[in-house]
Amino acid sequence: MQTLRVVVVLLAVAVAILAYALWGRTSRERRASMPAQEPVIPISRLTELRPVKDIGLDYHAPDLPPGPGQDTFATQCVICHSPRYVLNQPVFPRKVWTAEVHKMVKGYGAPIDPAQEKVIVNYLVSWHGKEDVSVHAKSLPK
Amino acid sequence: MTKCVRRDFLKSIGALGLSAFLAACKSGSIARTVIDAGVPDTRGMGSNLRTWARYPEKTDLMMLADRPPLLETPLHYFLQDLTPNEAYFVRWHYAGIPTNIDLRTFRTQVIGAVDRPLQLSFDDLRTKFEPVTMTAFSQCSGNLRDFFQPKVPGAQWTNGAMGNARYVGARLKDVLKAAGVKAGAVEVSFRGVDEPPLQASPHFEKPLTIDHALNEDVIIAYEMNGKPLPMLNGFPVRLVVPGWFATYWVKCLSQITVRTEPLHNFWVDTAYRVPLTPGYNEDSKHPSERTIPITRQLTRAAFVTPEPSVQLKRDALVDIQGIALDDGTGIRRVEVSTDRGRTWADAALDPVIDKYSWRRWRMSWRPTEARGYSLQCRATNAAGETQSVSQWNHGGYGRNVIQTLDVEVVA
Repeated sequence: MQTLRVVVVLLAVAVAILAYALWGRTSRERRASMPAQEPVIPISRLTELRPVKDIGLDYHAPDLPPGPGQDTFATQCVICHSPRYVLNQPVFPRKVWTAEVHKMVKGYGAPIDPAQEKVIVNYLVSWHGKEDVSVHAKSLPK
Repeated sequence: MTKCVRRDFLKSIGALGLSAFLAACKSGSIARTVIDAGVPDTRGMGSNLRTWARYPEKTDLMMLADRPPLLETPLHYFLQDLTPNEAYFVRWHYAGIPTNIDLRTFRTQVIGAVDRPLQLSFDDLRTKFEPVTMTAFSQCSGNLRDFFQPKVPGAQWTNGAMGNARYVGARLKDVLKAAGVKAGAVEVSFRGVDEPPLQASPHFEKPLTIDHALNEDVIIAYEMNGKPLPMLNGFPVRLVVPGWFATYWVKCLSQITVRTEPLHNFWVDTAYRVPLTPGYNEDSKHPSERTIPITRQLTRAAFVTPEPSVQLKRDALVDIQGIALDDGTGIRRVEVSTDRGRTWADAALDPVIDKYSWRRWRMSWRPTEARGYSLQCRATNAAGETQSVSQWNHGGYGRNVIQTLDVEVVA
């Protein structure tokens, strides 16, 4: 009886020590993996923030078809934007391209004189446009 | 590049894809980051150049243009409630976009009709003002422009110039209070670090009315989905104007001007204007004489699944899923039609994520015949605003017509 009681007590002590050791270790490890000190004002959870952000941009400018006006386009239009801005557009009638090129001058201050505007419009229409369909011609009987 | 005449050009787009055209032109300027030039042209127009490209801090997105970059998010990302930062669409106006920001020197200044002009650092914005968390939807004013008929000039976005993200930031109201808005202020305008290419080019700057700027909801965000903003989405701070189109969400926000006179510039008086009609609608032959700046989001629903290219099986259950959005009033109902709008059934709405977030909707559908079906979806918000079947305006802005999704069901 006495022996049994000693064994039970010893067992209980052993379990307690084991439990403490294991529990203590996980808790110690958890503590160790945390930052030494929380910021006083945990305003934002931003991580990996370095003071300088720097990216490099590659341009993927497509070449454009040769033709009268290509040089003017390449010098005057590409100052501000990639030729891809034209390739992204639908095939427009002349009057839409005329308005678009004029918008670049009037709205965005592109240094394109009226003669150059015509050259650029002709160039755009030649490979990415179509002539205006006259309403008059369309309504004529066939 | 020698012989790339128009016929060859169009033929190569139609038959071989743009990679063939570009290869045929021996273009040396296509960098390695353009990984695939074969985005399918589902509308058969064959005129738009779209390729995949991977930009810094970004995943593979559909590139509409490269300088300045216009990048569109592929549809499948909208299966997630928050659009990942690396997949969030990109749109800049001028090629002179910021590529290098030093937080030790970057400042957002508050100037104009204020008692105390401010120079706020990134840490000032994070630590001196109460942080606000908000999930908000945004989209380019020209999102879906590609679908307008007749076609409209401008970036030919399909449905991916949009996203939903969780922001943390300082209330604009609190920042303006710290500066002390003087009596007589009517507007507050916003500029970013991006530079116009020429002296004569108008600096990109957009205004809000003073009442709007002082409301609770406009924030200066420094965190997007738990991370710093990607550079291409406006690092380090961008204005978040929830419920309004992205043209107001000024990126790399560097200058806030309190004004006693309304701002007039190209971006207010000429660009980003819509007809003063319900649903931004006008006749293409007789465009509206009266226009106003585009402002709030219009109510609409969009399909996310099934994708247009997927073939469906007869008698198999289809998970129809999409998102619905409005100006923050709140989506009340989404209906789906599987017979091109003849009959409608209510879709199940997911719980509200946040006031200005999009809301997800779902419906199960079992097609019983092997044929083509025209699916449609239509949203209604708490103010009763819903969608129409046709819409056109000269700028290709604010498209919210009922979407039709043609799907093929096979035996």
